[in-house]
Amino acid sequence: MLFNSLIFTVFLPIVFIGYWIIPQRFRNYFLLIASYYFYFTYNPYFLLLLIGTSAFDFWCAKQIQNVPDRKKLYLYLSIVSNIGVLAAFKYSAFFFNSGVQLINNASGSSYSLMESLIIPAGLSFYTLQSLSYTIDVYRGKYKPNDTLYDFLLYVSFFPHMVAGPIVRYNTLMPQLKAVSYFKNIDWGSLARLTIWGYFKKMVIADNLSEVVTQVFNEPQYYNGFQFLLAGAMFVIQVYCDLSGYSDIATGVAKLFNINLSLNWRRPLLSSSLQEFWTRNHISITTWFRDYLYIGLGGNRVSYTRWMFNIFLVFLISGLWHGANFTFVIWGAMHGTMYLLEIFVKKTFPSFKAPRMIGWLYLLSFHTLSLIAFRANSTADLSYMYRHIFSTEFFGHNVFSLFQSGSQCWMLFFLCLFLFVKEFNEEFALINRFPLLYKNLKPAFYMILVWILFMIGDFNANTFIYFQF
Amino acid sequence: MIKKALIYVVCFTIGLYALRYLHWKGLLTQKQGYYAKYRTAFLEKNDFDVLFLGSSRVAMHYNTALFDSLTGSNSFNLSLSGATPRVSLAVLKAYLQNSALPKCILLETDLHNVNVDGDIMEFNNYFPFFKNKTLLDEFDKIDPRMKYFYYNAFYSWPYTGYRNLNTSLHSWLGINGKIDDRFYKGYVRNDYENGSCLKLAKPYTAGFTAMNGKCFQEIITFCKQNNIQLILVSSPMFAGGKIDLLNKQQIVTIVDAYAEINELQHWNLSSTPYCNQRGLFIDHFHMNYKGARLFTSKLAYLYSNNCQKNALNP
Repeated sequence: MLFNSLIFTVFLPIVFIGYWIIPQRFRNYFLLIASYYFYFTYNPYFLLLLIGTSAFDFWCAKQIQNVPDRKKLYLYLSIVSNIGVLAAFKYSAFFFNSGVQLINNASGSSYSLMESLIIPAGLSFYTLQSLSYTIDVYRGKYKPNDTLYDFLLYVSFFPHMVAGPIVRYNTLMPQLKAVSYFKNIDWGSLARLTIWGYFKKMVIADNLSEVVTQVFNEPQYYNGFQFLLAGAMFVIQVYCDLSGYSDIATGVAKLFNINLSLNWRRPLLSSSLQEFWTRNHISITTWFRDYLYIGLGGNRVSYTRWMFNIFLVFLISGLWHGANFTFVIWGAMHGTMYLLEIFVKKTFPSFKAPRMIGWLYLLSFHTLSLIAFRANSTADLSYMYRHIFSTEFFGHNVFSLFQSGSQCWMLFFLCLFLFVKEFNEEFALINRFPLLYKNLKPAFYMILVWILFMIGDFNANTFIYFQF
Repeated sequence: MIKKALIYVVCFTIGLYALRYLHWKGLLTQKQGYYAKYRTAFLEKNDFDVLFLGSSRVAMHYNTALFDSLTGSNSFNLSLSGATPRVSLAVLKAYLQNSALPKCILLETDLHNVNVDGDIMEFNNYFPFFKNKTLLDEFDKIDPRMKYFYYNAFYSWPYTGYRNLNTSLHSWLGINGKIDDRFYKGYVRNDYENGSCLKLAKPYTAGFTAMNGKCFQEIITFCKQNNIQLILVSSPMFAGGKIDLLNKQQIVTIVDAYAEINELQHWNLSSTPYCNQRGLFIDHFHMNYKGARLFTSKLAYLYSNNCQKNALNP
């Protein structure tokens, strides 16, 4: 069930009404059943996997507390089970096929490749969320005093289960346990988040996707400039798709008086890669920082090891996104550039590029790296980079990737609109005129919904991160 | 809180309908182009002698200006993209709601398309023309969502698409679209040359569905009852490359049988020698301007020699 599907418009009101009419003590049970039904609609069999892995993590966490002498063992059990499930479903075909191809190339034999398995929806997200709990219990951050039902709900709370944001235990659990009142629902921010989220997804991301998909699926028909243009559009598409999902999830969670953590802080306005990673997909970034980077020793190690740690985290985060070398290349590009920034900062401490230059640098690099992220294969990627960095940069008709002039203009204005809104939020421009702000706000969101109806894509396209 | 929400909902709904009104108004007042053609066909009173009925092949092949100049008739190209016999029947009935009976109808057999029914291609283009009650009722029989589209703005907007909006905006601003000036009485001139869009589709076989067969017969019966001369025409299909439609001859035979049983003429021009000339086609099914001229000249010749006398002076 997707947020932008018709069935969700039936599911959500039923869950909302059901939640608020039943007594408080049964609400979390009800929410758990609703969340499982939400997941059940993707694939009934994988629901068992979700229940199984989260129940096992719950047991491990309990054992970490109850048997302190063997707490390391239970932590490893939890890590192995989660990573094992991820590896089995997501990476087994990738590693197996990479090995087979190596052997085939070396020996000239032709061993057959393995078919990719169907990846359970949201696997990468809920395993990380569940794992963060056992690691935190191991580190003594919390005591596992909850019931199994509470924990299962913490992992599977439907607004964020499939594509984040990954919410930490200390953020979500107290809210799930607290007594909530209907009158406390923050309707204003709920409506704003949801409308803006749907607008970003269905109007901006889905319309951009039409052009982007066509270019990346048939790169042989396009030239270097068009690859760059499609890459730039993909930058905005990814941002709108992912942040759109997070905004909708945050808005929907507010129906149950739950505040999910902030996941995006206008990353496309960053002026360096370091700043970008403090604003982009915050819940994932902080997860990798807290549980992987710090686990590797963070910056309390030698300079070389520290650099290695940073690079490794980026490589792994690339691989986390998908089992393909293109994602690894994307991770490596970000790791390398991040280290370069550190190097420049250390070597020239007084150097500070103008913000505009920094912003252009960030967008250019992000565009180039996301071409790697989006390319269907390394062969396609190599083809695209060769055309971008060659004399064949311009073809005959650079705008032929658009179906019509009207599509080109529409996409241009949508992107411009996004940047103006983000810019306004970043610098709180309209807030300087409180009266205007107060009166314009409802009209602005109403216009967004009108536009959503007029040019939104209602085909229930999946969100990009569902594939991860 | 509830009062405020209610006010927002009401304002939103009124706004949505108002926007749709403005959008449709723009489409309905288009001076030239597809929507101007639909306006003429479905909302205006007409008195055309000859109608060309069929799919986009008719729109591009049947050059009304040339036909009129060669035959001295007053023809109109009443074609709709992807029209099947079922859609063509609906279109004919809708046309006749406001207009006078024609003397002659040239019905394109669209050999490649008779295996499809239940679909109205690009149906969102016709929403503003559902003021024509017959069109609405007939299309609703084919696709029962049509009445919801017409009356419910919440349902029709998501199907509208930015291309339609763009056309409406152009109309409001009084600017012609790129291809608008290529229209003349329903015919649309296509200037692509040398088969620039010729791509081999997956080869397939087609055959009349029961529904299309029934509607085909219904058009024939309707014309008989109203004393309209009906000619079946199979216009050219590209034959210079690999053939997409594998059983074309089989369908031609079926059409011939229809013609024989109902005592109609079937002008089969689908395999004339110039069908091999790439320079006359845009793709496998559509001819360009040059091809259309050649075809229409032949059509006018056949028309003048075989039926004009009967059609114009019954």
